[in-house]
Amino acid sequence: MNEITPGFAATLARDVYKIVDSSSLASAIRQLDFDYKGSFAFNQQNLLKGKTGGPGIIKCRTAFGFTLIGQGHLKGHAFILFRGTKFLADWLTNLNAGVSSSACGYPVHDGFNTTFNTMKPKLQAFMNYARSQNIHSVHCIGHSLGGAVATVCAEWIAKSYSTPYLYTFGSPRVGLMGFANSCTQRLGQQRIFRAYHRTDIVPFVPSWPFIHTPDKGRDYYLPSPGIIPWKTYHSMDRYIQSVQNRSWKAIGSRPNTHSNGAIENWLKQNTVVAFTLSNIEWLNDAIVYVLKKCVNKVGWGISNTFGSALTLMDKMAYILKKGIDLAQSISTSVVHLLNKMMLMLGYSQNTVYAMEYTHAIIRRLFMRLQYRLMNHANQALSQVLVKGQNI
Amino acid sequence: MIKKSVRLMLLFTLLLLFGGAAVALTDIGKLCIFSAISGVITLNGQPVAHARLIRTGEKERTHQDETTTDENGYFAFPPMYERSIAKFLPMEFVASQTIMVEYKGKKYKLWSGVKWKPEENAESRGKPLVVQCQLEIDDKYISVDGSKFFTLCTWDVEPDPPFDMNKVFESDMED
Repeated sequence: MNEITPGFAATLARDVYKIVDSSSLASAIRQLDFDYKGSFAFNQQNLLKGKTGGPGIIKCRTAFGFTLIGQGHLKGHAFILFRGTKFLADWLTNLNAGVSSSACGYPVHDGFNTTFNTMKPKLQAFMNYARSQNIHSVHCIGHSLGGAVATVCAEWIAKSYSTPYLYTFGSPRVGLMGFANSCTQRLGQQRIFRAYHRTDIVPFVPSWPFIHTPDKGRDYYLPSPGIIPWKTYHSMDRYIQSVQNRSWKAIGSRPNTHSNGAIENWLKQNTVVAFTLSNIEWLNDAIVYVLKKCVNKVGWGISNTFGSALTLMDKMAYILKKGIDLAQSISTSVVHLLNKMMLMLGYSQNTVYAMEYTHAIIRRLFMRLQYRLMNHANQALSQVLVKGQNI
Repeated sequence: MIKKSVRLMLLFTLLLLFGGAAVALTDIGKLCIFSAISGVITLNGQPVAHARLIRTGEKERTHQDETTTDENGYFAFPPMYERSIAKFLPMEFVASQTIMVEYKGKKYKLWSGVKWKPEENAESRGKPLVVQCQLEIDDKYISVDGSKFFTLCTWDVEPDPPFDMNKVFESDMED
């Protein structure tokens, strides 16, 4: 294992924001040369030759990438850093955006996937060059939307080249269950470092059925104050403060992952559910739990149908509705879940019976919750993104 | 049970209200994209008099202003602000900065950089930004509290140290 420290990964994730449109590659190189004591090699001729971006810089409307080859202490290591623009944020927070097929054929968010595909030819050139330089470790790094693009990129590298390391800070969810599962298997849990602050809102979006990669193993949970997920703890500076001078080993994983029994109990309680962080965590776990239960019975069938998020909501509603209709044991869980969602949205505490949950009502519940979360996330994202027009 | 829930809701509402109020009261709603900067410009030891200075600051939009040096090569710019939706909770902040000097038919890039924090005088760790600039030298790179500059000027500030390259690999971190 050749993983880099959280502090180093975080500093690089921050630095990719600094290489803004106004600065040339030459000034970026001078910065990096000084800040990292000449640990990166810059071979202008061999590195990427973009028409506008020049070697090392990969630009598109929705994202910005920076590729680096290590030397000296970092010999044998290559780094790919990503950052998103506000155009990608628009995409992320657009409920009409859907999923498309990743490098390995699994459903990922269309915004991240299309962004990655636009950058892919240059990334390919970089990876081929890296291979000729006997690179043994590739590190994909990104904060926020950049983390999501890094995740899609890492899956592609794992398929086409060698297994990379993946480091994300406050990344949104990238794909559906199929993608999270396959990407985790391909990379291996021990090579995925997903760090996030507890009260960072961005990791809560896009909403279900999107889930985080890795879908098993551990995450890197950074406690942060607050009772509702918000934007303050999304900033890269906060992430640097939280991980500086620490090892990955010293960072804990989320302490309160809920067992199936605990989820069943939580679902049964018919009390007011405020829109707090702890309840959102519970709800996240509960939705995944109930969906999995239904999927086992009904079948998911989603990986082949790539539609918009609206279609995904439809699909979820369909699956849950099927769950209600098919078996009593599942039906109870689904109804409890839907009641809980009603409570969270501030509807009355009257018990709703199974038959009253139609496909349309279920779908609407999901849309409402989604909308609620998106509203929070939109505000958080607007803080992070650099001006995108010239990128 | 109901009482408890109502209390919780009330607490939650209050927190939201107060949280909102605190932001509105303490934040004047302006982000500093270029702090006030003043100083003296010389060329080979001689003051650069009556030179034209064009300053550009850029975040969501591009802002530009101009000034001229006096007899002694002295210039001063006021702070440059931008109002944006980011004002309520300033965090991931990147503003690019340049100052160009036009003197005797030649153009010099006096200053180019990226301001990383929205606070005023972040370029000099909170102190007023007073600089001495020499047009004849090669520009120098300096990193201050995460902000990065290439400049012909010097000012009284402690630069950031380079990254500690002994803390790059996870295996370096074991005691």
